[in-house]
Order: sequence, then C-alpha cells, then structure tokens
Amino acid sequence: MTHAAERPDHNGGSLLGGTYWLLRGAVWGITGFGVGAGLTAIARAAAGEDAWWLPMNFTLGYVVGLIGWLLGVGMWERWGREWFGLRTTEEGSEDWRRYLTFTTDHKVIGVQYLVTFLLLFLFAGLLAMVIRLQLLEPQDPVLSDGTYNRVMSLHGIIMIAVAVASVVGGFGNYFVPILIGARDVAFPRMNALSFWLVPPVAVLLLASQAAGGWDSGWTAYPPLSVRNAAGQVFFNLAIITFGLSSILGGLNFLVTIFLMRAPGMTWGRLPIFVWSMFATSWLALTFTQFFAAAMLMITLDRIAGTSFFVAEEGGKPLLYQHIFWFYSHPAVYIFVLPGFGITLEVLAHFARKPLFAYRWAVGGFLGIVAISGIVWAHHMFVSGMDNKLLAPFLVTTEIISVPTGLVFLSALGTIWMGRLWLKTPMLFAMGVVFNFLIGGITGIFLADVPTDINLSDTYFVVAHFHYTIIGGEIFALFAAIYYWFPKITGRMYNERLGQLHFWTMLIAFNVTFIPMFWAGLHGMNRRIAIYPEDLQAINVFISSAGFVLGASFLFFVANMAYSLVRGPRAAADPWRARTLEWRVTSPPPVENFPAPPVVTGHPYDYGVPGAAAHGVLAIAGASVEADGWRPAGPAPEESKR
Amino acid sequence: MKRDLAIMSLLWLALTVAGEYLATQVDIYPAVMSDKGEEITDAFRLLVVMAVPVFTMVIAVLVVSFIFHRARGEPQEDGPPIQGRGPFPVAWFAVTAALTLTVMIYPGLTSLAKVLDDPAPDLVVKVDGLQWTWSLTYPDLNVTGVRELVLPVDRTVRFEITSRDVLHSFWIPAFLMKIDAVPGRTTVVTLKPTETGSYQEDSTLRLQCAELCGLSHSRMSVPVRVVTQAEFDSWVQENARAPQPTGTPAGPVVEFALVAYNLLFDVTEMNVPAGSTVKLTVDNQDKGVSHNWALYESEEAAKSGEAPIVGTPLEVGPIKQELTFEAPDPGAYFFRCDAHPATMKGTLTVE
Repeated sequence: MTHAAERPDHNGGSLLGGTYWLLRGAVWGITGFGVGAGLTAIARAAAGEDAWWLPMNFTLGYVVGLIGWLLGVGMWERWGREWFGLRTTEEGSEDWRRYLTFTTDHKVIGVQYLVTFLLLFLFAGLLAMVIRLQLLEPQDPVLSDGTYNRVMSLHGIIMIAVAVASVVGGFGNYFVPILIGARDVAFPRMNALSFWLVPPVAVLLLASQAAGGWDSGWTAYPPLSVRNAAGQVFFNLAIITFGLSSILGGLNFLVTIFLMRAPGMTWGRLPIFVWSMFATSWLALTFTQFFAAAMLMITLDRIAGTSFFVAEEGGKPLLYQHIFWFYSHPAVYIFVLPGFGITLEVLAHFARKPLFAYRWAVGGFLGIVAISGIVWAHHMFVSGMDNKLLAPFLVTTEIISVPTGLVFLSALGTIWMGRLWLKTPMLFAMGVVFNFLIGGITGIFLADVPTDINLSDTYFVVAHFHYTIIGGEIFALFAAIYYWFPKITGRMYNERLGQLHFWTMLIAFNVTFIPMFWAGLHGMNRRIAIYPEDLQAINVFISSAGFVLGASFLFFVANMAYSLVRGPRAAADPWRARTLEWRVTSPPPVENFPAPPVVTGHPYDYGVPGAAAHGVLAIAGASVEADGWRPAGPAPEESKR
Repeated sequence: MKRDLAIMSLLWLALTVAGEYLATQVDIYPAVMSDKGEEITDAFRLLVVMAVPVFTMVIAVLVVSFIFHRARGEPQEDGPPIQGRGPFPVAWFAVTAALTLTVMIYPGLTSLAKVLDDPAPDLVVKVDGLQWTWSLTYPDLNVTGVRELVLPVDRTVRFEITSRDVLHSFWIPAFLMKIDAVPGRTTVVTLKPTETGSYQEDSTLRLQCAELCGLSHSRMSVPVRVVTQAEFDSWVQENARAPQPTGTPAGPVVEFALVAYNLLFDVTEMNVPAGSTVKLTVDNQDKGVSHNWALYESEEAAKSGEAPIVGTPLEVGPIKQELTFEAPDPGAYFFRCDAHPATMKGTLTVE
C-alpha cells in the first residue's frame, strides 16, 4: 500500500474514538451543506428572489455537503494529502473500529455493505409490516392516505437499494477477490468511495420525511414527481448519489475480474458467482446512468424551470418512463443475477457434484445481459405509448425466458442425483429454485400484452416482483450469509436456528404472496391505502401470513447475534468445498493469501476421477512475480470443459 | 438413475394431470363483463394450461431429489460427475426456445390483435382524470358532470381518455381493460359491455385509477353501471344538460364568493332565502389542482353517485368560476368539491 506512512492515534480505545471519522465526516458535511446552501441564498437574494427556497438551496447545499462528508470521512487522508504531497496516514486500527473508517480493505468494505444493508432491510421490512397493518382495514385504516403513500414509497426504494447493493456490495466485495485469487480489488480506494457514498443516501431518504416525504413510489413518475412535496428532491438526490456508487462499483468489479485473476484462473475456471458478478457489473456500469439522468431531469424541472416532463409546457411525461425503465428493467437482473450465481455456487458444493452445464449457465447470464437492454417497455404496455411498440416488446420479453431457462437447466441438473447435504445454505438455494420458478412463470402473464393490460398495476404484479426479488435474490442472500458466515466471522452459525429460519420464511413467504396473485385478479390495484370491502378477507389473510414472515427474521437475528459471540470456532473449510476462499483461514488474513494461489483445476470437479485441485497456494516466488499476482507467463494448462 | 427417472416422470405426470384439472375446472377468475375481457381471460387460461407442465416438471425434480437424494449427515462420497455436456443442454435450449416461440405467437400476438381492435363505436365517452376523480362527458348526448359511468349493454363504447394534471390510469376491473390517462395525450379503450350490473352489486364495476397519482389515489374511483338500452336512454334524458336559463332573475339576488385554497373551502355554511337567485364565484387558488363546486340533495346522494342539482365543472387552478342558479326548495343541501369530498364540503340552507 503506497499511501501507508504513519498512524496517528485519532481513535483512542473508546466508543467515541471509534466514531471519530464518522463524526468528522458529519461535521465537514454539515459545514459543506451550510456553505452551499448559504451561497445559493446569497445568489438568490442578489437576483431579487426569496433567499430561501427549499428545493434549490437544499440541492446545491447537498452537492457541497456530499463532498465535505466524503473528504471528512477519510477521502482527504486517502487522496487529498497524498496528491498535495503532505504526510499521509496509514489505515486505521485492526479491531472493530476499522468497520467505521474509510478503509481500502475489500473484506472490511464487504462487511460494511452487508451490515448496512441488512439493517436497512430489517427497517424496510418493518415498513412492510406497517403496510400490512394498514390493509387489515379496507375503508377505515390506521394511517392517513398521505402517510400511507409515504410509507409505501419509502419501503419500495429502500428495498430496491437493498436489492441492488446487499449481495453485490457485500458478498461481491468480500469474495470476488478471494475467489479469483487476488489480494484486493483493482481500485481499493474507489471501492471505499463507493461504500461511503451510501450513508448520505440513507440519511436523505429518512430526512426527506421531514420535508413532507414523497408519495410517488420508488418509480417517481412525473408529472406527479415534479409537483409533489419537496421531499421528492431528497429522493432524487439520493438516487443520483446511489447511482454513482453503483457505477463505480460495477467498473471496479469488471477491472478486477479482467486483470486480477490468479495464474491459471482462466475464464473457463471462474467460479459461477464471479461470472454472475461479471454479468451484473456490466449492467450496473452501462445502465445506472439512465436512472440518474432521469432524476436529474426531474430535479431540473422542479428547481430550474426546465420542462422535460411537464405537458403544459411542451414536455413529455412518457419520455421519463422510457428513460427510467431503460435502467430499471436491467436493474432487476442486477438484483437477481448475483442471486443466481450464489444459488448455483451453493448447489454444486452441497450436491457434491460438478456444476451441471457450467458453460451454458454462463451463456445464460450473458444472454440475459444482452437482452435485458431491449425489454424495458414491457413496463409500459398500458402507458399509452404507441400501439406499434407493443408487439416488439412482447417478443423480446418472452425471449429472455430462454437464457433464464439455461440457469434452471444448470440448477436442476446439479441437484439431480446429487448427495444433497441439506444444511441451511443448501435449503435456501433450493428455495430460490422453487420461488423463482413461480416468479418466472407468472412473468409470462405480464410479458403477454393482453393479460398484462388487466394485471398491470395490480397485486398480481406486486406478487410477481416479490417472488423474483425476495424469492430469487433475498433467499440467495441468506444462502450466502449462512454459507460464508464461518469464513467471514471465523465461527459457525447455529444450524437448528438456521433451519427454523428457512422453513418459517419459506412457508410464510409463499402463504403471503400466493394469495396476492388472486387479489390482483379480483380487482385489487396496487399502492392503495383503502380498497373495496369485499377484498377484506383475502387481505386479512395476507397480512396475517405477512406478520409471520416478518417474525421469521427474529430467528435470523438471534442466530447472528448468538453465533457471532458464542458460535463454535469454524475450521478453514467446514463445507469441504473446492473454491479458493476455503484454502485460507477463517477469517482470511489481510490481503487474503499467505502465499500466491495458483489455479490448476475446475472449481466444481466433485467426484471427477483424477481431477486436479481447483487451486493451491504456491510457495512464494515460484512461477509468480513477488509483487502483484497478475498472471505471469503461461497459465497452467486447463482441462477442456 | 433409471429408477429415479421413472419416479420423477410418474410424479411429473401425476402433478400435471392434477394441475391441469385444477386449471381448467376450478374457476379462479372473477366475472368478466366485456368482450375484450373475455379475450383476455381466454389468453390467461391458455397460459395457465401451458405453464402447468413446466411448473410440475421443476417441482418433480426438486421433490424427488429432496426425498431420495438427501445425504444422511455429511456426505461421505461425491455424487456422480455428470458434467452436462453433450446433447442434453442443446435439447433443453431447443425445447425452451420452441415453447417461448409458441407462447409468443399464441396466445401472445394473436390475442393482442383482437384486444387492440378499435371498431366504430355506438357511443363515445370522454374521460378526464384529475386529482382525485374522473370527469365524465358524453359529448354526443350532451351529458356532462355526472358522478357515475352509465353504459348500455351490448353497445360498443369508445373511451377517449386524458388527464388534466398528473398520470392516472383508466381501469374497470370487471371489463379487464386498462390504459393510462396522460396529460397532453388522448388514449383510447374500445370495448363492449356484455352484462348488466352495478357497483353496488359488484365492486369490480368501478372506474378505478390504477396509476399512483398522489394523496387520494386510492379513493379515485367512480361507480359503473351497465343497463339496458331503454334504461340508458331514460338516464340520458334525465341528465342531459338543459340549455342555460336566460332572462332576468325572478327573486332577490344573493351573491357568494368562495375561495378554494389548500384543499379547503373558506365558507362551509351558506344561507339563502327561498325563491332567490344565487350568484356564486368559486375562486380556486390551488395552483395545478382541480376543484369545482357541486350541490347535492344530501351527502348520501352525492356519495351514491347521483347527479348534482347544479355545479361547476372541475377545472385546474388558479381559476375563477362563476355560477348562477335558482335556489331550490327550502331545506338543507350538501355541497362539495367532487375531487376532494373528504375535506371540501359544506351545507347550503334554503330558508
């Protein structure tokens, strides 16, 4: 690490000491905000306007404040001082306080992402409980219309953020470098920047409630989002910030996977989770900017008097939907591709079989990436767009089920005739196959324009996307948490609590969401605070099951809390898996490998007679350059696969 | 392996038979009351029938594996090294591609053509979405400002839909048809109601906004009633707007100026002597929000969808509306803004 020099003891040993960098970031951020908002006020007053107008002063204040926060939380130490030739400081401490600092260690950043988004997941889950509480009563519910709309919108966007970043930011950061035999990502400081852009996003979304929140859902369709409460501006800024984080992360993963693979880690030997992260990163890098651009246009419509989307002034409300879905459909594959990757990874290790049709599964991932960019308008079948567009998007949308089918081929072929070791991670992975099956099949009804005309914007859609996102990604997230818990923490989780969590979650999830298909068919539209009284029985049923689903996470929280402290020490390789992360201690050492790894075989050759090990740790200096573990010289020959 | 394949195939077959029985014999669909809706339901049922074997195949593999291939404790040996090379993935690819192509064409593209069909209508209804109600006009019949969508059965209706403010979505669940109301655009739904009925009997007979449109989105719904042609004709006669009264007012003139601001009327009680002429100014100061002033026999009458005694059209503010009318018979009457009945209401008393 070139920027390491000396270590000032800012931290001390106290709790307050551990939060030094957070506090400094907050102070610098608030100061920056004051400067930005103040200068805007002066400029407005000079122009003869009211000095304070929340949307504009806040927006410009936020831009400066964000820079202040990033510098204060540690960017100044990591970048600024070095650039200006000042004495730089070393990374923070080795204990828990490193999780609260601007560190460049990919494993620490992975944990930072994971813990942050698990907390956000639990919070937005509580909001879901509030939603279900509301819908117990058809005409006389607990929340006012306005509060309900805000709660529903907040639930939506936080869960979207969790879906974007929990697996990618958490497990992607922690395990992609280890799985490819690298000691970190390609751009460690940019990696830290990606994470530290996230706290302002959470703060904005929560603070927006003080400015009236926003009631346009996570989709923020104009003209509503151009004329609703000022909280909408907070939302827009949050999305732009989060998008930047996502783009930087995607770029970082791509470069890491291209350039940092250990000797012998050919494309044909890449663990399937890494392949899924590769595919996802292309989507994040290519499409995220469209969401940010759409949000910028809405912000400008509100504060600068542009009229991109204001019909009376010549704008086009439909234009927004095209730009928005041009990102937001690929985004669902950002959610679910890493979920597929984890699922296939876990299935192979716990079925004790080679990953079935590995190359076809990779083809499926890349096929999804290719087609995902040309299906967006299937979200707009009833938007009033030209009828000529309906048939082409029906066709492209149906086509995407073919590459998705290849993922199922790989999953089912791997399970088939295996020696299924039904530990908690395996149960969750099989749960993904079951849930995503329902999510995928119900998707056909929404890809088909005639049936979608009726089902669009109903609870059928709500059920469908919860099946794909919870069923496809969140179940995989939990598979990954249980699978890698021993590696990350060095302790084993409690198997009994884990299985209890799985079964209650699986059953309650299905009992909650299956009836929503029925409710949608029977006239329950989505995003409503009240509904016709004859739909009360089904909604009470859904809510009751939903509360059980919410309660199932108590098993998870209890398991994590208990096992972190009291769990038995984990061995280096408790699952007897072949991939590289299990070749090192639990938790892995700083910079991952005591000696450079060399990859000599396929990661999933379970039961293959005479198969070489996937990877071995080389004796330092042999056949590998001493510094930088890039492939040096010809790679060991790869078995044809 | 052969034994497992046999069990799996038998289970698949049994589940498929059971699934198809349920799919075809159990009626999971609500009553359908329009020609387009029947087309959509047919497509839906066909897709269910096609989806069942795919669903049951995956379930059969999962169930057989879960029951017969689970390891007792930690597996001591690895499974058979089946790599999934060779013709099987190719066959899988071909079959899924063929299935996709089938679904795409039938019911996809074939029923799409039928649902988009736009024949010459017997009746045109103009529908304007506004926060948070629907404004209905029958331009050829001189009917406007009604609080209920009344349609003749077995007649082709074309709805010409637009929005005066934000996005809304025109959806009548019983008809299964939906299209967004977009400011600056007119979208069209053409359909033929096939059964009589009313919202009071079946809550799917409602014109519901299906696109999130802000505060009272979930309340943005008006009742729908499908009636015989004769009933429709007499309804039209009752509601066709009489020509504007002209000439000098008969009794004394009472003037009122109401301000509608921040979703409230500043006046909630109005008293007028019997026989007088009321001159009303409604000053809507809410920028970008539609208000009107409409007088009803009672609050219940307004809620049940009866037409107002008199009223102004819903128009986007800021705007000043004027209305002149003869005071009705003595008694207490209810007035409100049709878009914001929860907050903007009051009593007019004729003494």
